[in-house]
Amino acid sequence: MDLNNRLKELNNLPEDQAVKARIYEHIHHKKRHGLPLWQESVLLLTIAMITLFLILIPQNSPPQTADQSIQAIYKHFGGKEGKFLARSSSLYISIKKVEDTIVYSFFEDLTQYVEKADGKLGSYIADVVVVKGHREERYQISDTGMLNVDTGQFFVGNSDMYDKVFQTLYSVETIPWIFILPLIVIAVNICSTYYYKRLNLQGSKPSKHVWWVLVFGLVIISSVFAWAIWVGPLYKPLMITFALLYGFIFWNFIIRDVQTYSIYKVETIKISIISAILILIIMLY
Amino acid sequence: MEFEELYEQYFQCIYQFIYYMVSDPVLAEDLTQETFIRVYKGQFRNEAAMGTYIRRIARNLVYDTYRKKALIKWLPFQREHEKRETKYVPHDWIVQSEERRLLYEAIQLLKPEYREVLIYRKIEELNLAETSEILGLSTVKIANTQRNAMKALEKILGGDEYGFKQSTEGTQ
Repeated sequence: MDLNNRLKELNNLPEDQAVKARIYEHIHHKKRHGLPLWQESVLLLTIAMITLFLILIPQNSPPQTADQSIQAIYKHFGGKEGKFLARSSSLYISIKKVEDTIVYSFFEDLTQYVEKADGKLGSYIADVVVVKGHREERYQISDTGMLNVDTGQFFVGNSDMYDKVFQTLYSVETIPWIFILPLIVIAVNICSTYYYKRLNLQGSKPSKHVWWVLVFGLVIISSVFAWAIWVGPLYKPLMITFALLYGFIFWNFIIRDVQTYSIYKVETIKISIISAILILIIMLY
Repeated sequence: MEFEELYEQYFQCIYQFIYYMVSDPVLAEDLTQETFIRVYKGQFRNEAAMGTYIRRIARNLVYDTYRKKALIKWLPFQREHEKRETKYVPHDWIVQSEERRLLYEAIQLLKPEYREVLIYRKIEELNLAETSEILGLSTVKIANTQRNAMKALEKILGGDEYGFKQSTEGTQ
């Protein structure tokens, strides 16, 4: 028999009346309920609780010992008087671990390079956390002098060593990676548009409410970044969680409107690239 | 059109399509049920003919199943039918005829993109425009895929590498 006819014959699969009746019955008895939405809310709440827990953990004081050597020094560029932003972990955004040996020597014995005096911090301030003997000492160092935030003691720095240390701590090492993100987004969209055109595919058009959800998600992410930049350092794992969550929500909404497998694949790759870049940027900050 | 009429009209073609795509009667039943639940909840936006709309839902559910099984098993919120492993169970009607069984099993060896085009175009005999609307692809692309799918099917039926001894002489 001709292959076409043999294929046509497969269209005569007998109708299973039992299955048909069972499905019909089930549809009529199925009640609408918002369980998936409820489940998603519980998941989001769980994630929020875990991240809160993660935020609180690094703030616990480490055990005290008699060892007075400096374990680590962390800095936060661009502080303000009366507002201390540095943290004793490089897992926070814009917090850098200092590796310079001169800075370590300086903080080993401050008295050699600074003098106790009354004064005021200058215009250029960097926040510093010195982990010494497993205890944290917090300083704000400026062009005119430095302040021990914990004791309120002010020091005037008038030695060359002080100037060198200040220059090292006040230097900007962070490249504004975040500006790469819009370029990546534009690039992947251009590539996907070109690909759709080449294959003559019609791109997906998510419904209005989906766009509102996506915009809302974007506002949340932007707010988190804005907080990290202007208010205070945020814990990187928390931000990575947000980035992953946003990628997941974005992907989950987009795929519901996608009609073809090729578009699904392209959209998934796009979202994966953007999420990965976002995570990389968070890690680099 | 009332849901009952729709159900009566489209049940068989939807169930058959899903069954041929997943080869598991239990999973096919679940996905058919899910398809009609979505139709019942009424999100039809008059963007396409009702038949196309229902077929698209069924097709998306099938691909959701493939995707979730292959790529994202770890994801939460899976529905019952998504958690279940697919197992190959041929329909009694298919195994009744050796020729039919060989053809059916050969179709199962095709990649999903080929399989669905053959189901729509050769088994259900939908025209190019209808198939194009369901799949969201151009008619040229569908015609090319159909040609490649037929070639692949003939190769499977004629080759020994898959253990098929069926002659393709009658298919030429």
